[in-house]
Amino acid sequence: MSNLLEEIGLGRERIEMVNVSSAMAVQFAEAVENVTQRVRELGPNPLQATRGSDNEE
Amino acid sequence: MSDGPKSEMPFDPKIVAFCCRHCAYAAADLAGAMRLHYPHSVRIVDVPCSGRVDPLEMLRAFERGVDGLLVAG
Amino acid sequence: MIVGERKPLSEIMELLGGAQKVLVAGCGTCVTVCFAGGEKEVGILASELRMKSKLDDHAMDVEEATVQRQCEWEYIDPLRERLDGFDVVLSLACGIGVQAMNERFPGVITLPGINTTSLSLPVEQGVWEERCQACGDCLLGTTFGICPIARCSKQLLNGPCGGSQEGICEVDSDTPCAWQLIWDRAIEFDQVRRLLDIQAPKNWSQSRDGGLRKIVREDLQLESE
Repeated sequence: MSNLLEEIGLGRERIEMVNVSSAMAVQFAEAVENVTQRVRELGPNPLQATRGSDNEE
Repeated sequence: MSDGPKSEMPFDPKIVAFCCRHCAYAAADLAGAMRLHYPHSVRIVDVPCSGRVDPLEMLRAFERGVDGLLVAG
Repeated sequence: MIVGERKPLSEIMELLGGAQKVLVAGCGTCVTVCFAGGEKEVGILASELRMKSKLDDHAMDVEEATVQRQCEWEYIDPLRERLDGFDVVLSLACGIGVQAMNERFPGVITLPGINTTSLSLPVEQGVWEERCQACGDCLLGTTFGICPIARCSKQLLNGPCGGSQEGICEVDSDTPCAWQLIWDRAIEFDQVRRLLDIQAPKNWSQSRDGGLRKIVREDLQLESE
């Protein structure tokens, strides 16, 4: 899957897989925080950007 | 980002989290009950098993403009 | 079964050139079973193409269609009405399917999205190993069911050769020596005598080197008026 994203040019870092059990609420929150932080650094999905500029025109 | 009209606004990435009903979804539930803070921009999708999620669904999510994905189980 | 492998996205993009409207056509038979060109792979590739082309600033219109079998007229004929307006068809079928599409619908070019690689056996999940080279003159009856044409690196008819080391082929340390396997079976069935005669050269005229191979079965043909 990450290879697919790389091939398309979206970047493999946009996806994360984690293993959390039902008791691991803290780890779950951390995982969400981590992904969000990483994706924030990567910037928005470039597909969305093109769509946005289409709308503006 | 800098060329966007709202570049001063902090970017809130839209994340979709595919969560196993029995593990991660329950963990998310528990996180809520414990009043844990995590980014509000995450959209949780409950799936019967995280093994159920296949590349096609993940690609569709990106096609529709999601910024990142979390698969948790 | 016929086994194939998806071409890299970059190669597919290059093949498609400046196409605006693309139909990705899958096949529901062999390439579905080997996860190369069935309905799901069509969906994945179509999605990839839509995103990649958009990121490359020439968004393509990509649609999907999978038929049960791309190598028979009856199954591809229903595609005819869907082809209107498409610049190109990208087929995820084997080489037969790609050519069938081009022959049946000469007005639109059908390009290959996979490399057809072999006639293989899925020996375990995710692993396909060649078992037949369609040589046209089957030897399996004299080689205890193990094909030296597909499985011996030298295609020997009398073996093993000196490169067989402890049952392993000298060409590749992961490949068992086909002739060792044949001898093991002969010993198991107590028929070693059958391997002692020297095999004469095989009839290769029915294999790939003699031009287009064709079977005509008059008993099956419809009578022409």
